[in-house]
Amino acid sequence: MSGDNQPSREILDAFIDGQLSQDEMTRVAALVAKNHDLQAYVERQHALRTHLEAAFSPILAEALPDSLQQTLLQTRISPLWQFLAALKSGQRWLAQGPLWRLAIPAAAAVALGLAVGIAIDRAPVSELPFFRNATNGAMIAQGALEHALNEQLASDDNRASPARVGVSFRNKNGEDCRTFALSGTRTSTSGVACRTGGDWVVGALASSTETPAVASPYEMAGAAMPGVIRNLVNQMIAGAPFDSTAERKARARHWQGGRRE
Amino acid sequence: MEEVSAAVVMDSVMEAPIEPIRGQIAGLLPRLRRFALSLTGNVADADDLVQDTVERALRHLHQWEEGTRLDSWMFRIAQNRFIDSRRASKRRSRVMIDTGGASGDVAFDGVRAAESHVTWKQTCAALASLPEEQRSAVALVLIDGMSYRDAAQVLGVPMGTLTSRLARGRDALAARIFGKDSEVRI
Repeated sequence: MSGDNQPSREILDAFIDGQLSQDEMTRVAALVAKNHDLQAYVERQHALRTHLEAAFSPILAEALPDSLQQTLLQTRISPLWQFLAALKSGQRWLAQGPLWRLAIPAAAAVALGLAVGIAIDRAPVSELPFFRNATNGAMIAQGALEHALNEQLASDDNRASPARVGVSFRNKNGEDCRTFALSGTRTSTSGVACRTGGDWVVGALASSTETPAVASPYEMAGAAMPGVIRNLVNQMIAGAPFDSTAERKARARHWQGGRRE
Repeated sequence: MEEVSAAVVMDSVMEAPIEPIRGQIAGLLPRLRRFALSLTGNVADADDLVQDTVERALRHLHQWEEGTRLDSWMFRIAQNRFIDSRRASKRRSRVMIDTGGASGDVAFDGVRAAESHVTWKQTCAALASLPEEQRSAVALVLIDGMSYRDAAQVLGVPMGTLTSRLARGRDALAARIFGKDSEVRI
């Protein structure tokens, strides 16, 4: 295929495709210039590229079809990605002061029956181990949060726990739901999760840069819970929150929910 | 009342940190469409493929490692979706490609004009005749102009595999388009 001074087919193709270093390009160009066969090969390959270009490049100049534009604008972005993107803009978040911020994963918003569909907003690094992303876009509690949601009772002394459970209740779909609070070093987060198909699906989160003093379970149920979460709970709840007996009973049934007695 | 207040709160936090990424993807769409067209051989299927790719990319954006190339990642999705759809409907796909996309693809004037041109049909048929793996290599390097390294990454193969697929694809294409007689032995 190649003589002593002749580039290999591989090198020649790389030359045609502009994949060689500048020095190599110059060296191969000089060899090609001296050899008719090589020249013919290079010309043929250039002609091939021109052919392909003529056939396939007109579409570059075409307007995008409407359906494609709609897909681009309306498809919901991965909540987990937005979570991760939030890490990068964490400083901006922190600079925005101690306002409670609400975020509702779109899938959860639908489950909650809310006529909104916003994706999860910013979350601090310390919260990430508490959540994972389900394939349907929902946020699922994991780690210490999942454990707390499974096991903690409102009457437990949970001050040392990174995840503290507040009010438990049954929602209008018959699922058991619980509010929770997470303490980070620089932020605190509250939210509500409902037991769905064996997972705790997080319905909403609200974060603040203000870390409230560790609240007693009762305070968590009221005063320390951001108003936005409280409002959501009010929308979701069927009947009254669980008392301690109902809470124990629900735990014993692994939060499987059901119709309210 | 509660519903209203919740909605108001949510409106107030509906910032749009997502727009830049949508913009980045928008900038890739012409190239993605061209890539899809070179894989599928007709505009309607190409747009279906790109639509599917965009939807999947947005929904699974967390799988993209930020800092790596978004275009490579999206081309890879398109490539994988194409292979999946081919497997799912091999027969139908074959028929579509064999017709050279000459009918039913009237969405784009420019492409339609190109389709009416013999170059389009000839080139498209030649490309469609290549095995999938060679077609993808040709589409990425010869049509899109990607570097060998990026194209190998999109296809998830070593660079040597890419260049050998490319060489075979080149030979077959040139033989079909220019005829075997004009073949140059080197």
